[in-house]
Amino acid sequence: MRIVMWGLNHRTAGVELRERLAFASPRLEQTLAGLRRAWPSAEAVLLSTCNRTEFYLARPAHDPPDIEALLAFVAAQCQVAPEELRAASIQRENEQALMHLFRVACGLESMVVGEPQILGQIKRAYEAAAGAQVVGPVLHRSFQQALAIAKDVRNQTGIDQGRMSVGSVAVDFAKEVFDHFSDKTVVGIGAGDMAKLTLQHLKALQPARLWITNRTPERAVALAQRLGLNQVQPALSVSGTMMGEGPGHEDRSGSRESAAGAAPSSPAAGSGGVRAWEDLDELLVEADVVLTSTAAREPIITVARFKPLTRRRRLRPLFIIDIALPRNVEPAVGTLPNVYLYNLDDLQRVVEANYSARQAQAALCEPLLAQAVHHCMAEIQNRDIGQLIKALRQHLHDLGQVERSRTLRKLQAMPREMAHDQRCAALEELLDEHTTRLINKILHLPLSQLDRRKTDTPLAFYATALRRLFGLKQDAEPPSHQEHQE
Amino acid sequence: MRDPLTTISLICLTLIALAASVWGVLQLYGSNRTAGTMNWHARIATWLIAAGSAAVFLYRWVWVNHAWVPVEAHVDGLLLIVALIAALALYLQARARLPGLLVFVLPLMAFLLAWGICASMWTFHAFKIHSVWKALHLTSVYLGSLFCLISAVAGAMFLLVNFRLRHKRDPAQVARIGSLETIERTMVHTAAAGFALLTLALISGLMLAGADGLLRQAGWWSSPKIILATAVWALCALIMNVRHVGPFRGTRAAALSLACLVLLLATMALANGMTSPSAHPPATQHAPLEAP
Repeated sequence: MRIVMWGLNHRTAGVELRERLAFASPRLEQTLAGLRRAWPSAEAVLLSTCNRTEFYLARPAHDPPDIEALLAFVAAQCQVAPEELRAASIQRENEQALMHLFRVACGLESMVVGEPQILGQIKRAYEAAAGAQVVGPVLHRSFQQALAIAKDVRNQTGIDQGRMSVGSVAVDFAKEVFDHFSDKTVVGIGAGDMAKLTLQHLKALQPARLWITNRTPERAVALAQRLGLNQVQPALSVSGTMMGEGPGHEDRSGSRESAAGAAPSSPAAGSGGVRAWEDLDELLVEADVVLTSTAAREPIITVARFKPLTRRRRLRPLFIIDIALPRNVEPAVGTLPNVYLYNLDDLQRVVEANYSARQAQAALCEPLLAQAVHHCMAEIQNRDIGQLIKALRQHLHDLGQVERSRTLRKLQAMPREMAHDQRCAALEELLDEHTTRLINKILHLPLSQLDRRKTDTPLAFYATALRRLFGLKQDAEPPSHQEHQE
Repeated sequence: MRDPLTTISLICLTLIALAASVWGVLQLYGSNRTAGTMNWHARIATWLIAAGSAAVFLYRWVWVNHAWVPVEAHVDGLLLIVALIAALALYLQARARLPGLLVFVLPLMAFLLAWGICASMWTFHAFKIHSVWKALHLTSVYLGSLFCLISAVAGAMFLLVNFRLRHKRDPAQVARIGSLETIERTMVHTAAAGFALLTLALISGLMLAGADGLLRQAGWWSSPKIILATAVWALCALIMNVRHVGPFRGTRAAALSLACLVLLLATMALANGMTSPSAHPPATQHAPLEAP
């Protein structure tokens, strides 16, 4: 069996082409069914993610499809010019195809090295193909091995360790300060794209309240809506609150700490909304986590502004993430007791360190993967050889049975009243005929391949194979009958 | 009563605690991935120490002391503290999400066990337990000390986590100890338990001193043991209220819990020394708090 991989990814193709080659359900199932119809003897798995579309096929050595046929099939399915696909595609065969699959599973081919999502995507692709009944023993073995080696490599090298985005690093730091967030207040100051990304990470922690404030309230309202906060209709109120009051908001005086250990009355996820910019001091008193990302040229939170609030906060820990440039929080605020201030540089430094660590770990993965590929390929080949031997035995047994039946019939037709000597001679003749016919039948197909008139036959290869298989020496005379008997 | 088997057992337990402490401290500076290994080793060592200390304690009570009160000497008290600290630490680590707790508790247990060797081999003396008040006093002193020690351990953890946060160490690259919030909660709750038990110890100690007529002596309150014990008690009171006393919150509370530990150990050493008749002048020999 040959394993063939053809596909394209974020390195070889732009997002427009990748979009056209995206196979989501039900298109994925239709394509798999098309592959089965077109090449019934081939096994197939189609991996389609936002960064890659890859076809893994396993087929008998001399059966279709070859790469060109597969490319034509994909071009027809996706209505893309074959030339365009050819220019952006990558293709691998056998060991290289397996190595590519294993590297993808380990996240070594991902945009973010070591990212774990790809493992789930490969698993789903494999399951979809198995469900469509286009996976056979070779791809079963290959994909199960890929999933197993990916887990092993992650455990042994730690290639998936360390966060790779500013938001997730900030969340990691926040978890070092707070045990749980069900009674915490998160405040977002600013409503830009960066704020949105980081607030999404913070919202995943399910804080009791998530307030957003911005100099331009409309943008804050839009961001709150995108984050799915529970109050969505902007309505100015007397207290300066732009959106409704969330549960647990009743105490802004800093005495909230008295109930800090207890769960809030109704810690609904998505509680919060937009607060007026004038409420900023109140928000700083209430907040446990503050995210700043405004475009202000001067710091918004200064020591002079924040220090008087610490008494009202009763020195509760405050975790501030300042991802604005220029910075929104005066660095000296971070030196105040129980205030933990992280700016963009601090978080970016961690991300870069993690990236470097992952790159270093990637080099450690290569020997593990090479060993796994070798092992998997050997298993697949052993399975092929086993099946070949079984088929060969069966074929020879069938030939033997035919000849045996023929010889038996002749034996039964032999006259019974023959003299002993005559009978012996006839039996010897019959035995010779049986042996000759059987040998001729066995050798007929192999020797017919050595026809010198066929120009496309690899004669030298066959000749070498025959010599090796039957132990014949180069330019040696055929063994005599006597030698054979010996 | 001196007992060679007790000393040998204490030496073995001390060696286990020391080895596990060194291993734990080394792993503490490893990556987060080593945290599981760190916990695994520390947990086994702590289980061994808990079981070993409890076994030696029971052995001394049943076969050596032959008394109705289990704590007949300082070494018994130390064994009791170590066994309970180990059990409490195992419980807290499992329930309170403090993965690094055992690494901090193990050195403390090593210290207490080493002290137990000294108390068993060289400075052994039996308590004179003549009343229920004395038994109550001893029990509350040792159990109160137990909670103060855990509070101090939490204080040390708080300082290390705070240091990491101030220096922006990536949490994914260092072995996890616990969140500041959890550590502070543990510190406050154990200090509150320690405060309650030490209050009981102080009251029972005063009752004993009153019964002996020591309170009628001039300057009884200026005894170093009384001053130190009162300071420990006051620090516990401060730490347990730290959430309501803003200026002492955070690293200051953690430092206070460590100061409380130092004072507590000094008090225990002083009390243990003071019960030795030849060690101190008569003025302090019959101090109100005769036990540690």
